Amino acid sequence: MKLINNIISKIDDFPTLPTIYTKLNEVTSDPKSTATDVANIIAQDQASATKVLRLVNSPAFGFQRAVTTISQAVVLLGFDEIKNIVLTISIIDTFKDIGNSNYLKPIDLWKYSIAMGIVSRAIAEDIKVESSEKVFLCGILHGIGKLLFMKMLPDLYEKVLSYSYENKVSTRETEVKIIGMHNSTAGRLLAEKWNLPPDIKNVIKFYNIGDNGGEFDLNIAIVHVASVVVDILELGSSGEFKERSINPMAFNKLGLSNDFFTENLSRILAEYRESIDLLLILDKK
Amino acid sequence: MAEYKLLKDLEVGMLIAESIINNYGQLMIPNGSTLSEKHIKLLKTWNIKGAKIKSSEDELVFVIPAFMKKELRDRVLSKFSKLRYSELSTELFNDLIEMGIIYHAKKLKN
Repeated sequence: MKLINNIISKIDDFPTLPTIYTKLNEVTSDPKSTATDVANIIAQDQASATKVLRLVNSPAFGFQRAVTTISQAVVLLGFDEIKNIVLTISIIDTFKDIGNSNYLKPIDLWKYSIAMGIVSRAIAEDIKVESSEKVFLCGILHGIGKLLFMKMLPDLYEKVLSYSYENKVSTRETEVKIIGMHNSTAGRLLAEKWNLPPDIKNVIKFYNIGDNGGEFDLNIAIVHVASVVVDILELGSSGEFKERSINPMAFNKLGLSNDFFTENLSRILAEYRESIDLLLILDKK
Repeated sequence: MAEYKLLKDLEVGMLIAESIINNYGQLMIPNGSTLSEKHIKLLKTWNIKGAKIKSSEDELVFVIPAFMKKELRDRVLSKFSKLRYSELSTELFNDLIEMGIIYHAKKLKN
């Protein structure tokens, strides 16, 4: 119990998301805001501005001419996409100094998270969800609790991983045994502190089960099915060493085309490889 | 067989395997077209991320031998426990496993 209280207070003391993201959130939700308002906020944070430009000029975005100013980037990409890029940059920055582990390399966990974002987005596009970029974020952030454990409790989490690996038991169950809570509980507490949108909070809490207390939930189902795909393709590592299950309701009710997986395999892989390159770009100082 | 390629990997002369539609639902390049310089420019202007391309003959003849297929299928299925097969949509589940088999077979081949 003492440990749980200790963790809760540690999460409470955890850094907030950079002000640039909260400011962007305010400005982009005001219908009167212009691209210049958005650009001004990003330009004030030199480190983020440089990274945004580096990303936008990478081949993934495929622009014909070099994008040299933040205002250009905002106009070309739109408010939502820019906001998501800044959030991704902020989160990578927050967790950049995680120490290494013998059982789960931080870079592999990032790769896993990025693959989750990409597969989630591909699913969202197949079933015509309106905001596929938000689903992308849900995928990326689903396992934020693991990053939090690795950063806050590196020694204890190493014990969790080594115990799960050696005994071939579920890491999630070991988390409860040794730390006293699932990574999804810790992740949700952080998401609350960061005031992330409710959809994302729900995904963090329930992606592993695949539904919200027996009720179908679109975002949760998407990220759950994405995790099945990423596990089969072995992209990165989630730190889970035991076999897993599939929630039939999430799997059947999404309404995916019957050949969705084989049809989208090459696209998922192409986007994954590209994004890993972007991740390495972001990692450069 | 078709393969999705990112915009930067598209080349003049490639065969489009699925019509390309822009964000407004308008048809940009119809299925079966051969990519031209102009097409690629058009895709860049509309910031379209990529396109499905008909695979080269080399990939068309890529057939997974039966023994290997069984082995790979077992490997994919070994990732799961307590699956309630009867409750999963059969066609979609078979497609999921097939995806895993194709992926791991190609990985072994390379």
